[in-house]
Amino acid sequence: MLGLIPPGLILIVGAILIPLVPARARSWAFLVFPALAVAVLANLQPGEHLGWGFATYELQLLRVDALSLVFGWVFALATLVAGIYALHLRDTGQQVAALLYAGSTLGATFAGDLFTLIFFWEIMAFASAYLIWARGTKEAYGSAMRYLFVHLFGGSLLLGGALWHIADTGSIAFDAFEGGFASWLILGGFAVNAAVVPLHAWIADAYPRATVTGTIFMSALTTKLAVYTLARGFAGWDILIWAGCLMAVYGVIYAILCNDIRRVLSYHIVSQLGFMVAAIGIGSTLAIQGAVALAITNILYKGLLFMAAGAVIYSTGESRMSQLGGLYRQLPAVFWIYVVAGLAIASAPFLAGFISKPITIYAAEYAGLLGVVLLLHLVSVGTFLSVGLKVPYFTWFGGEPKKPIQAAPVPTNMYVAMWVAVGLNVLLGVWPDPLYNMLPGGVPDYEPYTVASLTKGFQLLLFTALVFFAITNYLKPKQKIQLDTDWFYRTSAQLAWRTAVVPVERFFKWCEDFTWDATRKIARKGFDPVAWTRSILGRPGPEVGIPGETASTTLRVSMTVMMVFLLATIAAVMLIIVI
Amino acid sequence: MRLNIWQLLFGFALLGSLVLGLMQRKEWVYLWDFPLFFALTGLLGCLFLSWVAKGLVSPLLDRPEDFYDASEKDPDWSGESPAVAPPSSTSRGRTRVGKEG
Repeated sequence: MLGLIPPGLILIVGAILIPLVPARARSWAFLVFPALAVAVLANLQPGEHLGWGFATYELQLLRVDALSLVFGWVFALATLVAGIYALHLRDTGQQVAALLYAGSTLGATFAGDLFTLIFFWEIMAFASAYLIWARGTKEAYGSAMRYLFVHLFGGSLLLGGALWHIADTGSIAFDAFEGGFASWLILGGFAVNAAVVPLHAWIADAYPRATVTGTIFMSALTTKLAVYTLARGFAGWDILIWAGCLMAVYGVIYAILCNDIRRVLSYHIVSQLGFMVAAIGIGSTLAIQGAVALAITNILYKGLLFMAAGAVIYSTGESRMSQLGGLYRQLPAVFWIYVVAGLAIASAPFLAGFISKPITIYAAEYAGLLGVVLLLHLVSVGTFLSVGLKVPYFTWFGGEPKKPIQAAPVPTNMYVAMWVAVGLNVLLGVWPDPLYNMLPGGVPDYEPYTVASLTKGFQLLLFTALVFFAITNYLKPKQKIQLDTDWFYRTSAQLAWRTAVVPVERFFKWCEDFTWDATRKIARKGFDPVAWTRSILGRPGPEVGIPGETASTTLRVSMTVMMVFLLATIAAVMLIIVI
Repeated sequence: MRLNIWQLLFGFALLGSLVLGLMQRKEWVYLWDFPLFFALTGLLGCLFLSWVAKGLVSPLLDRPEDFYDASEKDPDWSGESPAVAPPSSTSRGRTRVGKEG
């Protein structure tokens, strides 16, 4: 019976219950819910499903198969680890938002129909926007708003596409799409969340500004869920191959340039998503397995990178590499943790990246896409250069900062979460079988550890490092930001404000002024109607002085205003009746 | 010049990876079956990407950190007073918020 509880529901119920827990136990109570979700997941068997009749439709609240199960596992585990990382946090709002966010992600993962998917999809957007907003700075406020609007745009595309699809086919099932306008709309909705260039700018805008702990949830959930939905709905769509290649190159170039640590990591998510999207576009069993394995391991090491970066930001209050440097004396453990994650993402042997990323490249080779293979190898170089070398060098070494930095101690729970993630990365790196056994379509036809693959890995990393150390000065981050496609909507906001809001505001201001002016005039005449009538008739009588502005003046003014409004209302009502 | 222990180890690892590549016998089917292909990719790819990023993209797209401040300051909707924004001392990227209320 335990098997038929949707795991997402547990976390959502948790979001409701957690404010009721006493404040001191709240962050510990947070961990209970993802742990329960893991327990439920362990009991789910592929093939199970839970339907719910809603109006004339049969909703699929729980559709368990290999693809949804493997993503469900990693989302629940990531929530648990991120919860440990956030144990020191005393912010009920963030805890509720994080549980709601993770719960709706799990809900969307196991959704078997489009309505359920969209329902959870929209909750995710709001809950995650709160995690940016909770930072409390003005930049974070603006960023959260832009994030929300971009995701609502994506959600609208998804909703429009889904309705169109249902009207066309009569089916609300969420399975592979077969083309046509509706499918393209849905693809657009997924592409926003999957940060497909040029719809990716939200990721580099929002993630660096979210709270230290919130970013961990965000990096694990939103984009990887989009990979899952793409893999289910759009496997084998050729356009995704080229979109993926563009993303992989685009993201890594920006990652080499950026100054803010978490912005480097955010752009690098775009690049890594490029590998997954391209593999989904190839669409063979091996390619899908590669995309899924990469998404799973990516959650582990990208989360770890964000945790280490978050520890630096928590401790120093600074996130720009141009202002950091020489931190090794103060935060050596964070450095070594970061290096493990940086090597994992560069797919160094014996770490999680080595057993996943090469599968996607191998699948491209197998499909005969030689240009794609070369491009992805090139991007692998950029990955190590930007995330594996540039960030650690300029943060922990790379000369003294301009202003001396005093690093505050990092809470123990953060270290625990990071070491757990390090353990998972190493474990999967040396023992990939648990992951390989869970992949959809059986164990992949790929042998990660051969002499040839180890040689490849070592050559690529070592020679990239050689060049990096030769040209470190050339790569020094500048205290600048880089324009991206968000320029279009960030600068046009002012224009829209001027064209749409300012004229309306001015019109209302004019109306207000006019009304007050007219009222004042009528009120003054109203002091002595007889004198006024006489002055009109040209027979002025004895002048009655207008008294000064007294309490009775105010009374008269307001009486007159009420009269005017009353007359106007009567006139309007009569007008309506006549029409 | 004197090399420290890390540099020596790094050098040995470089040589080791090259030797390991050359020791393997494999038919050449693709370009990347060339034994030193990945060493060259690392070497040239790193130079190429650095040049593209720092040489081509950076001059085009780099902007000062407060670039968006001007377009995202509190809008002057009345059109009456010349915009006299208070000098933002601490906050970078002041966001657009509506007039009070």
